[in-house]
Amino acid sequence: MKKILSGLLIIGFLGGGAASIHAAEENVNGTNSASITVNGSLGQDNEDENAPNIDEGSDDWINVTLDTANIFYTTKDSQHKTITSPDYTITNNSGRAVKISAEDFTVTSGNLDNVDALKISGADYSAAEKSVDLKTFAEGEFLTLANNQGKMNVDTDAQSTHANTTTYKYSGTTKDEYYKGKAEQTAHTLTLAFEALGKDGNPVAP
Amino acid sequence: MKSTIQIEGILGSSDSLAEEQSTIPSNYFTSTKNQVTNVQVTASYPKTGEYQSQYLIFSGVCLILLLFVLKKRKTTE
Repeated sequence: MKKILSGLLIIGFLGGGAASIHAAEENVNGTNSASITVNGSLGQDNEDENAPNIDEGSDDWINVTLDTANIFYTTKDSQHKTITSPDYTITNNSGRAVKISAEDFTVTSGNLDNVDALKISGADYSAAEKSVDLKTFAEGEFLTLANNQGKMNVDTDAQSTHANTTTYKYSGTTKDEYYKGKAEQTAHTLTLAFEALGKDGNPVAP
Repeated sequence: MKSTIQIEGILGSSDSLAEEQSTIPSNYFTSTKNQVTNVQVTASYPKTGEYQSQYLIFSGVCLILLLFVLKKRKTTE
């Protein structure tokens, strides 16, 4: 009986000791120092598609260059029936693709009563023609541009697969011969909204 | 994020007016928010007094030695 009891006592002590030794291997105990690996990321660069500090879909990704003063005009050749404009450029400098929407269009001076049609149009990332009707304006998507490396999906697209810069212009027509012998100037404000797409090129849920 | 474009329409005017096109320097959207994230800690100190098993092992070994000594004495007597 004594032998059994002493045997159990020995097994208990040795077993408990082994378990405690195993646990001590995973933790720091009984030493006055330990090393901690800390990876710090400071600042942000929205032109770097691998920038670690910017949340997906955040406005911090938006980095677009565009002209903020545009004109359109009628041409003498068409006897002022055709509306045209210079080509304007929009460039996405961001590390993420950006969706550009026309949010508002207002006439701040003059009127478009004698304009039959007026639209803004340009090619998006896939070279598809996109336009927004400014005469009967309805808020909506205008263009989407790839990131500054020409990628929609940062992980899977090859470099320069898509366009990150495009040109747009205004076009339209005026009413019959109204402007043949008349001249008018109008002023407008077009509000564009920018949305940074996610790393996969799709909108990020809020 | 939003931006506005000022548009001027020249309707029925001479083309010379249209040639007075001027473009305003490009507008840059810059962000001012700084964030610090992605800090990883891979090791941590245990709480004080959490592990006392070494003392138990030591006392157990002492007890075993005592038992052996006592047993040896008994057999020699």
